[in-house]
Amino acid sequence: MDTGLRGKVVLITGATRNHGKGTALAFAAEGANLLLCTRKSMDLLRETARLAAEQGIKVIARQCDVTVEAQVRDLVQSALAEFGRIDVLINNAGQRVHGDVMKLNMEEWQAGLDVNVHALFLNCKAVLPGMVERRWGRIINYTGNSFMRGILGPGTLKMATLGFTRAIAQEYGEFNITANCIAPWAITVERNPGHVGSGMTAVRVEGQAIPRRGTIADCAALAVFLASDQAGYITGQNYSVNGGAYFL
Amino acid sequence: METALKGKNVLVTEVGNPLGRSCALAFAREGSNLVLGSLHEEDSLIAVEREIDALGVKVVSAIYEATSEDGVKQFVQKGLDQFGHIDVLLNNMTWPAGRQSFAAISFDGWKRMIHLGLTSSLFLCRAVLPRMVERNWGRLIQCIGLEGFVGGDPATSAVHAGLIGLTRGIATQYGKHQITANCIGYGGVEGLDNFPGAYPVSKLNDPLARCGTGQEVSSAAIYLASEDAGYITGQCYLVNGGRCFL
Repeated sequence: MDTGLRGKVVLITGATRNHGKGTALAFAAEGANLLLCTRKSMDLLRETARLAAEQGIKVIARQCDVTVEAQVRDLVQSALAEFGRIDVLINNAGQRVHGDVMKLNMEEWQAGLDVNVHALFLNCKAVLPGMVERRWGRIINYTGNSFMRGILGPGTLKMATLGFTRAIAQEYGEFNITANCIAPWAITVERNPGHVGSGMTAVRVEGQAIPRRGTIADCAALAVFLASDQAGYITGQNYSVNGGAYFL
Repeated sequence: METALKGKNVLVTEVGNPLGRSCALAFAREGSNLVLGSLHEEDSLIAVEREIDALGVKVVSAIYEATSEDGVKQFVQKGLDQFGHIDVLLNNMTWPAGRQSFAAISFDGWKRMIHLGLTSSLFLCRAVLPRMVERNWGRLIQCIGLEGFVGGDPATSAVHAGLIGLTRGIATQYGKHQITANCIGYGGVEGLDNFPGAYPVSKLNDPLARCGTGQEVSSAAIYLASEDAGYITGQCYLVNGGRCFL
């Protein structure tokens, strides 16, 4: 399938590991140029950039806290200076907030809101005007199956992401800009040392329609498809990559 | 239908709008006592309080400050001081306001809306849950609009969809205490959704080509709060004339 992504410019947040890295490499394989960012792990980001560049595409790797308005503006400016455009925005950076609603740490809650919700606002603000000008754009936000599973912190924040995605989809559809979500579940990922899960992340995949864990590549392939020319009539959706663990 | 809501204590937010008022009155007609709140609409709050009072149930009301958890706690405490506990939280964080385009909304305005809609709703749940757990009974009902499903005002879309996630999370965590948490997804309600820029009734596309009334939505709230609805949790019941399907 010719995805039409060759030469397009793709901004991916949190492109250091897992979905961010895998998505970057999948777009590089399609011949898209990349703008990658991370808040702090520049060594990992440079490694992603190095691997992506092996595909013969241009890559910019920048440090950026996507919750800070001025930093997002600078990040996008650097891409515009180099590439002249951003065609696809992949909001992958996320932060999990776990625990009983009565015991949620409100600082962690705020940090979760900042990264999972407010950053999307800032990133979209920065890239949408150019997309409108060119009458073409793709916004892709990583969510998850947490809200289908009743996992409180991520479920709330990612549902907010989905609601926002639908608002963007509705407002910008007339400009051939689509906005969608990818909802992974039971994907094998690298975790930070000492990672504390929700208690529900020890997923038993045996009961799923496809009784195995998914891969980062399973999700990255969907991101490529949603960004492709062929997916231009798909908008405001939340597509699961979950092995059939949950049916919509 | 015997709802067993007589004598229960029900907290309703934003009673100044037609939906909040309808819900408050509907619970009062079932014989529930009411704690009424609003962020700023004092006149309509007092007017609804008078209407409730005339129905012969106990009522207390307050304008409250929702930007801090303390402000929300103080509001709920007023209800607890009066009635001892809250059985039902009906959170109606809706304001009939014009739809703002994404292009027009400022980052500060966005953050304020997310905080008032989503984080302060979290505060409300946290304020009422402990006594519900002690009593092993509770109902949390969040009123949300069409925006979370079909887009619209960006902040409202994010907040209302976020409340579904919050509701499902609480449903999962507190079901063991016989506490249910559900959403009512209203749409096309007279006085709420028929402002400029909202969703006009489409005779062509809407199955029930008319506006709904606050009462039609509040009857769903009464049902979800009733004893008979004790096995329904984590759901979003749409009362929108078929304007969108889940």
